[in-house]
Amino acid sequence: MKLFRKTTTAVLVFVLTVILSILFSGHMKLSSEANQVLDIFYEGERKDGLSIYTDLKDLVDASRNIVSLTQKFVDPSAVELTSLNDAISDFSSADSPAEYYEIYSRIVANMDDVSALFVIYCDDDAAMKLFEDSAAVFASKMNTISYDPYNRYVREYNKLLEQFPAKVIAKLTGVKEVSAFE
Amino acid sequence: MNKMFRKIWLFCALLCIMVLPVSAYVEIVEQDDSYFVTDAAKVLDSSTEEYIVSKNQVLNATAGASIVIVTVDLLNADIVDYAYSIFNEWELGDAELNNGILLLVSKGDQDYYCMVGRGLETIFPADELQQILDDDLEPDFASGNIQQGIRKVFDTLYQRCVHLYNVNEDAASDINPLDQVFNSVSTLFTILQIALMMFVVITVLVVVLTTTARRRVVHRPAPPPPLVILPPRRTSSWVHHRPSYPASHRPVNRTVVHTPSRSSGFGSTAHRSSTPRSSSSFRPRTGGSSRGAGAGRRR
Repeated sequence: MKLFRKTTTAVLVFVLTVILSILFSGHMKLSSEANQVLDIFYEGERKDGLSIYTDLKDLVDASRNIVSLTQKFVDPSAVELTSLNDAISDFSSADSPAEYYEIYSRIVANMDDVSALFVIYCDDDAAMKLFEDSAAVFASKMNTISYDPYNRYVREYNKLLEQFPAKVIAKLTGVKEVSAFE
Repeated sequence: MNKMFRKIWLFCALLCIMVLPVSAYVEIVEQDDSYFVTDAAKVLDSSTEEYIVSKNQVLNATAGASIVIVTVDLLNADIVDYAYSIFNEWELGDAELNNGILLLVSKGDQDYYCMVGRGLETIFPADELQQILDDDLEPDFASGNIQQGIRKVFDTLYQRCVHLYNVNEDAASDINPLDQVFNSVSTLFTILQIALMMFVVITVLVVVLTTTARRRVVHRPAPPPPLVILPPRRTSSWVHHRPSYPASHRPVNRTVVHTPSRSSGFGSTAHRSSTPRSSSSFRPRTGGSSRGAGAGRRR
């Protein structure tokens, strides 16, 4: 308590306390907002489960169906099929929106080739019908993913981090930008 | 100085125009008054339009769902983007249930797309929608009979919604509960409005009149003369002289309150809308949104 008898020391301690409080509360606030943005990716804007993540899961399921159907008519070791299979396998190991986007891009790119192969070699109407149903689901999920507002929220949050004083607090406390799905 | 000012102003205006964000705005067709059918391409006859509107009124009144048909001649954007813009600008379906369905048909582009609201994505998944379109719309669409194809798709979607929401078509077709709800609500609102206005008017009148009454010159009696204690006279008795006032000079409360006349036109409380029940008086439930889920023509 002798320490606080001197005015200068007391003022210094007070200022230090204020600064630490600001940094701590700023860090908590920014982290909380970052988590809210990430929740939009996994749970949806309205927390109703209609999110990019659930759409991706449905898209991957449709892709698996298409791969299974195609393997009945095309050699499973075909390059197009193995590339698509690899992308589908990597889906379970992704853990950030940027990684999910990279896998999504690979699936979409390879799906065109696989679909072309199936259409050429398929000679079964029932299989064609199943393929078309899966393709419809795939296309529909691509639409919903493209219209999802997640990236808009990410841009707003990252823009906030570029402004003062969030920029200073983020640099001092280690808060990073949220990765977009692009 | 004026020249300089004009140049600066022009420069700022040009700068503002250049830095304005360019958004991917899709210009969509204008919504028809009937709300449920917008036949810009003129492929539907009046009986089909009335059929679609009447069925939708039943469905919308019961469950807030809408099956909206839009036909255009040519699209100025990708059909999915166009459908998405229509769906979310017109806010199809109930605000909470998000149970709108849009069937967009482009006659000139020979294309169509069916989009569902967020709340129907699991009820009408893409493969089921695609199945419905393939079975009901594509054959007639390919042969040029677009109206028949639209009618078949509408019937299928309508029956699915009736089954989903347990709509009692027989009971719902005779009455339009939405009209009655709006009538009673609007009547109650009118009554409350009138009561509030009367209350305000009366309060203002009372305040104004009482204030005016206080400000009027009131004839007050003259104050009594001060009590004067006279020195004792030569007579032996003290006299206290205080005048008395006659009753006619006593102050009278002149405040008067005027009550409004009953013939002011506010007496009608059982007001019902005299407009006939028609599609133009129907107010559909809106506020829904879509994430773009749907199915379209296979290419």
